[in-house]
Amino acid sequence: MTRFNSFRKPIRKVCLFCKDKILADYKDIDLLRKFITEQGKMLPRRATGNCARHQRTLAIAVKRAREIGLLPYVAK
Amino acid sequence: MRSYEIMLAINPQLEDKELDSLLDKVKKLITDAKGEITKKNKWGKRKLAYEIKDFTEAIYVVLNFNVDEKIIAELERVIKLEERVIRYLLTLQEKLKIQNKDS
Repeated sequence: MTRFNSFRKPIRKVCLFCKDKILADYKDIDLLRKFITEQGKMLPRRATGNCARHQRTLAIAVKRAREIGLLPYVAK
Repeated sequence: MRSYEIMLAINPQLEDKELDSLLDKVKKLITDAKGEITKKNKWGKRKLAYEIKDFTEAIYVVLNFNVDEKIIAELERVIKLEERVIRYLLTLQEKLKIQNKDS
């Protein structure tokens, strides 16, 4: 039920990227892992609390990390 | 001139000497085109998230460089042909007001 739980996290009011003034980077795997499920799928905005702009940059970062083999496309 | 970043995933069976010669080859391409390398970061061996060309791990190297955009096509062609490079990722670095955390 991990998936269910991850959706039940208290919703962050502020986007993490806005708060910490950082940008999503494909090299920062530990950070990116916070925004994907165990299956390797990206979490929706309603679960991450990110603003639209940063969710987009995050999506690009995750996709780049997948391309170079740092993150899985599908993990079982 | 533009600022780029390239990440190379290299065959993990390579000796240190071969790795250096490979990196020198890439660097030479950049410096020959009057580019400059601003940062070099060897991550070392890392497990791949999934198998690429039957490899389960790779040596990761990140290079930051400034180079004229005309040379990029040639650089990509050489890297694609290079068999020791399992996979590469070339990204254009925009001038960012907010600096990324170094990892």
